[in-house]
Amino acid sequence: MSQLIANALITAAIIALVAVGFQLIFQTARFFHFAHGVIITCGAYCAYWLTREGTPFTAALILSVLFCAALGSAIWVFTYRPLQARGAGPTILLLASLGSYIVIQNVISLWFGNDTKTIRQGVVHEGLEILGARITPVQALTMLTSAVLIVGLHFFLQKTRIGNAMRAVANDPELAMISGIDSNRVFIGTFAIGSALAGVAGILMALDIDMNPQMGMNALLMGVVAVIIGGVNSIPGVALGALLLGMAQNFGVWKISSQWQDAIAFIILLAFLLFRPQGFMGKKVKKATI
Amino acid sequence: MENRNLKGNRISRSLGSILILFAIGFSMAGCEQPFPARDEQTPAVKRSFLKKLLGAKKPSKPGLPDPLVLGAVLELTGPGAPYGQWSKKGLDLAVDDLKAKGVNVRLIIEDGQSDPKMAVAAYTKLATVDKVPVVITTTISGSVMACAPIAERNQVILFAPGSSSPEITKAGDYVFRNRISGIYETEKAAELAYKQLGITRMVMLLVNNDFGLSYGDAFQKIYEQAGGAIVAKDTFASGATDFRVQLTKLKALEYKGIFLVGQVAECGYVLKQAKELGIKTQWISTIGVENSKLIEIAGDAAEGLIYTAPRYELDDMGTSGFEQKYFERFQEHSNLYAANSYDALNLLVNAIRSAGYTGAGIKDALYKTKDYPGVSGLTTFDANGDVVKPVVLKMVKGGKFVSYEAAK
Repeated sequence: MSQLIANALITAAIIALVAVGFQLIFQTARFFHFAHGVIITCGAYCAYWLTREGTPFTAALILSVLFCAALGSAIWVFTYRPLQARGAGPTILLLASLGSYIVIQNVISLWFGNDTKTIRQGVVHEGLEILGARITPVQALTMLTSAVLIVGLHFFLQKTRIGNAMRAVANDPELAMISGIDSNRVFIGTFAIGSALAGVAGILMALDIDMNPQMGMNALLMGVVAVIIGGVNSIPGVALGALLLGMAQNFGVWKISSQWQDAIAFIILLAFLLFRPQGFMGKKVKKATI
Repeated sequence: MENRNLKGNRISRSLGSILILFAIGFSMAGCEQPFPARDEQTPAVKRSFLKKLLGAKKPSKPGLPDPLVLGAVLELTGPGAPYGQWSKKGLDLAVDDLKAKGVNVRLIIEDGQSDPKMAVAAYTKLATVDKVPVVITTTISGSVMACAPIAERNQVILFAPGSSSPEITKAGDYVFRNRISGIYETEKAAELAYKQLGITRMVMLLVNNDFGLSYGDAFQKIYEQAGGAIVAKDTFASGATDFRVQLTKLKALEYKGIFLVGQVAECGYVLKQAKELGIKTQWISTIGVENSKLIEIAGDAAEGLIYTAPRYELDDMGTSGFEQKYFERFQEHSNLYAANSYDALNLLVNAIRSAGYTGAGIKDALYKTKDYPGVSGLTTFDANGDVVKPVVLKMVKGGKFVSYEAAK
């Protein structure tokens, strides 16, 4: 039982990281940023490439996260912003992001090949026994990093000037501009932070269960489900959503065949869309007050 | 604030519908391979097409046409790629050797992408557009089963040098393979588990496709007949990398061994994650794991794994020089998949030489083949287009694949 809880927490940690990054970008930019998935993959492959080239491990990880942040902002600056300047709506931006996803993923496939790659080398260690569950150091690191980053992001958005500016732009870009916020810089910052989180998620996934060029898409799908369950505007909600998903995926298949894992996630999604579309933390809208 | 929530409300609805659409789309597309690879030998397609346009007739009487155009659907990408690539290397060697003997073979190679859907599309194209009488395929048993009806309908030989699913035995008259049926492998595995190791309770962990499920069924039948008990059976998706759920479920059970059937990367992750979860048991698997990728992924977690393998000894091959040629050209040791593919092409050319360039003729000639001395051993087809060759036990020891008898 404790192993199940541990597994659920590990799954949830990764989902939450992806979800929070996606949510941050979605909240501000208001369209489905598909390329977020490939940034996860980029984080993993960048770390893989750097360590193969002989970069010290920690430096490689930091550089990879920075690279992801730069890549995310670059996609905004060179793809979305010009399109938006020409009056493109969310649908066109969605297609553009899907295009970026496919292009970048194929570049990765071409360069590194389609098979799985491994960062770690040498012996496989048995997990440490913690409260009756086996957890490897990497998995412990995953949970810790995820928790720290999400709590950190929450306070960053609530307490700092830049965080307030980001929330202001998310709420109403025009009003924010009128009050003197440089929305362009806020957009770049948002994409950078969101993408850095995706990069961290990618690296942690790769350290735990290796990488292939398709890894980002599955992670993104689960992340977006968590965003919808948790409520589009609330970070604690998204964290809770990820936790619920992780629990459901791991406990749900306890008595049935494991191939139903993804189906369970989508059944939860459908249930939320039908009965509570505003998510965990969203407030119910009263028609009279609009 | 209310306004914003209403927006959020609508947004999450539209987000959700987009997400569901894409989830469906991606699961249908299998999202496996972005590159539908064509082989460098593509010009052959154009040439044969041109010939058809000009009305050139293919000779149907005995004798070899020049060039001798044959088709192949190989798993060049996806989870089955290691096996498909080996097969291609074996075929490349065979094409060169035949050329040296004056037989000009042109292989039109299509990528089956480890996906039955793609294999069917490629097979149909080869059978109906290129109109080849023979298509060589590789390992993915699901792809072979999916292509078998097309082979029967178009009277195009399907020759599978690497497929082992017991189901293929009854797949049809035009379906041949020179790899032994998995029945013999599972018999050996069951005997090892029950008789030699004295394991009476086992768990099966299978890849959820024709290969895994048919091996599982065959193993369960033989093992239970012998007196053993299968405590549990769980499956995983082809290409999966996270097996913690399946393994955690196993932790609560009482058993002494696990029969693991999957492609090499999947098996590697299972072994690694099992060790991380503290599962200590006797792992028994099949030839599919014999690939350096297993050691790369699982490291020392693969130690002690025992698996069944059709007999293929490198030093026995010295006489034919296959291993030597293979090593010189590809800088790696030859293996069963490459050797079977090499033999397959030679068997087929022999059949065409005696029976002509038609599917029906080649079929009859193949059934008449007796003790063909190939690089993978003697080949004789039975009434089902299957062969019988010896099976041995091997194990992982010190990061190497060694004979179980010698190592235990």
